[in-house]
Amino acid sequence: MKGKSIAFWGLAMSLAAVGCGPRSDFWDAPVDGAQPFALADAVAIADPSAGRVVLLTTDAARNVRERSVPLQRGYRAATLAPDRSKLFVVSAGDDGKLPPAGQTAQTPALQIVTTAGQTTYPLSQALDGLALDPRGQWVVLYAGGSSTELVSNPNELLLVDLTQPPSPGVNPVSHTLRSFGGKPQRFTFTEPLELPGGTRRLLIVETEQDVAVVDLLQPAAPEITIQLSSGQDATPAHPQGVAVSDGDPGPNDVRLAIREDDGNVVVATMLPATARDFSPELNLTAVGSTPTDMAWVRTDAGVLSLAVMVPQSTKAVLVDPTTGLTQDVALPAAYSRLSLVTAQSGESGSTGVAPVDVALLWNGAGSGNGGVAFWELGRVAGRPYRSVETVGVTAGVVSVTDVGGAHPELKILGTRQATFFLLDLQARTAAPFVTASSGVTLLPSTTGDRAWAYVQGSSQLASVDLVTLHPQDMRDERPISSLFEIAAADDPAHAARSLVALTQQGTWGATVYDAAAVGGADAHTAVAGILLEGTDAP
Amino acid sequence: MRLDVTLSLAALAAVCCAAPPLARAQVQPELVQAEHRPAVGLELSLGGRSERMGGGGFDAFSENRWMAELTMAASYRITGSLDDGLTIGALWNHGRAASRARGTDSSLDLDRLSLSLGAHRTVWRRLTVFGRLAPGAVRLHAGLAETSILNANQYGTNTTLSQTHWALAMEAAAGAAFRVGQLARPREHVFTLWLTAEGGYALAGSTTLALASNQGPVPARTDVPVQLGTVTPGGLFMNFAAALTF
Repeated sequence: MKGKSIAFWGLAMSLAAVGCGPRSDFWDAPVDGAQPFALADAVAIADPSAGRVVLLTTDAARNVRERSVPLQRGYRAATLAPDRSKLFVVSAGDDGKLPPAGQTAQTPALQIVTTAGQTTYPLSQALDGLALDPRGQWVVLYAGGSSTELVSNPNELLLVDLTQPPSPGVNPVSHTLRSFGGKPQRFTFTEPLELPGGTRRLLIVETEQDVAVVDLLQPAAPEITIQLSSGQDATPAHPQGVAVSDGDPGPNDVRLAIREDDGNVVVATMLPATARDFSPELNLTAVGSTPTDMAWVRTDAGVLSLAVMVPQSTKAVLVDPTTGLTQDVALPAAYSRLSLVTAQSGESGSTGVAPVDVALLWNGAGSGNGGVAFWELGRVAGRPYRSVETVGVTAGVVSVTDVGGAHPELKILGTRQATFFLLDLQARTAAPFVTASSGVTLLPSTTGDRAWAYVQGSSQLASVDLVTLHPQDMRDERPISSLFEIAAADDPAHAARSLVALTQQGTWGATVYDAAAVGGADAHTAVAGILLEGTDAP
Repeated sequence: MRLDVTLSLAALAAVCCAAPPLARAQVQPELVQAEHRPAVGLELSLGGRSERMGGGGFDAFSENRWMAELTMAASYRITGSLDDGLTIGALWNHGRAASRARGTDSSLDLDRLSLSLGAHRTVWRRLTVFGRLAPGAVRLHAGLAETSILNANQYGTNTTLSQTHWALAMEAAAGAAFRVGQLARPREHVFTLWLTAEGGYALAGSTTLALASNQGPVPARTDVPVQLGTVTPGGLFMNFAAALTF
């Protein structure tokens, strides 16, 4: 009898214990840290406190589907691939801490999330900085500013080759930069370069006071460090940007230009060396005052020059990479930025077999006015350029956005005022558009035939036809936090596209429009509680 | 029975006390038998119930798996006596779980209406055991006060997402009732107060929660419901109630 009684109470206690367990942590996780990204065919929302990425996809009929991709514990950072094909997420795992009860320990990892699935690269340490290769082959992880490690080495890099499967000790490969006191600030991946010893790509790492060149053919091999100084004393100079040229066909004219903050430009020519395949030969050139931008350009008869913007002197400087000789080009305004627009402007090959570049000059964020100008390089009698043609943009340009798609010749010029311009590189026109307020965000359509305009926090939305220049206002039903255009998941040709207006109120909602029909049809799909749908949802 | 006798003697004493003192020695006491009205066979009960809910979707509305409910029941003894009998009745439960799901106020209301078929048997003078079967229907109403919801009237506030679900239900329970006391007055029903405790298991159809705006259709707009997973309004339960029989 006593045994039966014990069994009864044991059963009762067991049932009570099963029933009294707390609910999943998901329901108590805040939504504050969530961050949206626009994949090409989905809106991806990194939801770190819930340990997942929510993928919101649409089809041609504007049907919306949500699904969750679980993340490792210890979310650190997420970055979108330049071509919007992947979302890179770095997680620390349990990182020395005990895992939650009943769960296995997780190590640091790089997760690559796409709508087709995910790939995980285990990492040897928890790093939070991500630098992405525009060609999609490499990812560099480094200790960023938000590292929570007790001790971390900012010069220790992990290089992940995305074309190779994960392999401990091989991929990712660890590379510690030799440091003279600096730590990485910017990373630049080059195109394949014809270097002595073969074609390869380089990773250029700028620290506060030097530049490191990593050979991506042998990522574990020691790098080349270019220490910078003014040339007059040992005071270190600080790199502000780099530009790389492959030069002419042949291996001995790859050049790396480094812009310093002390009015100098260093040109490093990669020449054959004995201890390694190549070694830089340095040439320091003074350009007068602090250069703000630079690019390798083809001038008269295809001659390679380094064009350097020196706005403090209202000029540009052309640097001969071989001799170091400079030529000043007086400009009509203190332009601080330049972009090569040769192909888009229809000027390529205008002088026959030898191309002459055309640069678009515009003001950087720090400048106030001056609009834009076309700098046609080359040479005519008496001056080292063919023409500098200003375009009547009356407001200071702070951003230049490529339209792309079917209209690469179009660029959207953003200003601080309540206006923006549509610049046509071929017609050399700049059509102004006046907005109801400043701070309008412009999003070119992937097809290039229209642009979307909205103000964060407002429900106003406009579609601008970039061919007819006709804007059409519309109003969303709630404040827009961000706007994305994504391809329909069921259309392999990506012809059907959806416009997704995301609102970050509550647990986030979205309004989905047919991107091709916006303005002509008001039909839309409303989604609410995006971050509320749990892992138990179907 | 002892209480009945006590009350009868008290009535006799009352009759004696009401007589004139002088007549007490001369008039033989008249035996007055206090008659009670026959038992109707009704039982009314009011109590609380704790029920374990199934399905992961319930997590959005509660921090544990249990729902507290109010229970009201009425039954009629169709055959037998107070000591042994069969009853038929109706049972209504109302429960509510409310919580915050990722910062959003959430609530889940449950109403269950059942037909009760029961049997009881007295095993001790104050203790009766019973069992019952109760087929019925259960209604779930889930609501969210979610601020990302579109307003049909964009200047409106306090819009919610909601869903109502009906399902067939069946529960079986067994328990015991402890007789606390009786109130017996002459020519009145004998009212008996009980405390009851029972446990059982409820079966009910599950539902996949898909909460939609309760504002009705809006032209040109298609609303996507918020999927919260499944809820099964049934499982283990315990009832504690006070019951009155007469």
